[in-house]
Amino acid sequence: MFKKVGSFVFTSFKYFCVAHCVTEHVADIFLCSGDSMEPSIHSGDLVIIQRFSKMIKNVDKGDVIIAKSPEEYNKFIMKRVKAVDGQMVRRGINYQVVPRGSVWLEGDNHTNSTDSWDFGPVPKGLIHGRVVCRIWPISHFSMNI
Amino acid sequence: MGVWCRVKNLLFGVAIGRTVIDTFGSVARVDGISMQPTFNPNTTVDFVFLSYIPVRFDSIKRGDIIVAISPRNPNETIIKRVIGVEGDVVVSKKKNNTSKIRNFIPRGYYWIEGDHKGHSYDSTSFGPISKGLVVAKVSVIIWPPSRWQLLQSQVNK
Repeated sequence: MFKKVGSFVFTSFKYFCVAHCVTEHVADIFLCSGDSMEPSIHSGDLVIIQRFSKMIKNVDKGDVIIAKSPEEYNKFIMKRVKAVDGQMVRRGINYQVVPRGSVWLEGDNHTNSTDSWDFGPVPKGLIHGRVVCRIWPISHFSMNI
Repeated sequence: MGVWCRVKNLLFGVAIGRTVIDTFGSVARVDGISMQPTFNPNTTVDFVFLSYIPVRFDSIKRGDIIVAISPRNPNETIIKRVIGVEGDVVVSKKKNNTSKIRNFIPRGYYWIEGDHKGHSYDSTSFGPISKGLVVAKVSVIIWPPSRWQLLQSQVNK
């Protein structure tokens, strides 16, 4: 009896560790909330993200990414990359050059989005992962967001 | 069957090891002179233990030594001392300039500096860093044995 419980605990611990490694280094599932990415991603969608790990570090203009919020480190934000290091962004008469090692993030919903125009360029180290595809709702499954 | 069983056990072992390392901490080598005299006082190279738990529970105070991802190059990590936490005002002097600059640290940011003033690439050049970039807290030097010690958190005036 005791042996059985012990082996059950060990087996679940093993699978928990495997799950941790997969979500930490390969891919993860996120539930989106909020309307800052409105035309492309709606509140309540489930997306698969590819973890931005030590191996895979390419981020390009136009990708949708998940990053840690620079102001609250335990919150995540989902935005679109508008510019990577060295490029220039412009809105109206304001323009800024993105420094090396940083990205410029903007929401698709310009009117209601807290983005780089509020907190400035985001260092690449804060990026958590790149959105690969939307899996829920199934009718809106799409690979290119 | 035997080979598959072994491969499976090996994979489980790697996963368990990785999880333990990701949860508790790992060992890293300190390069460079930016933290003299705390680290690398002579030509020796120090190895330190990075503990990830204080970062999870947000218990980093003024004076602690931390490891963070460099805001200019995401492949590099830097080791520095926390000088100011959110809400503080840090007064810094520019080189060959007597005027003082007052920096207010916004919410969710740290001001970090190396112990070796003037020879360190730190917040005086790139500004305060976000809390999300902080990876670990350094509390012990574990190698070489003659320098084995617990690191105190200290605030230089």
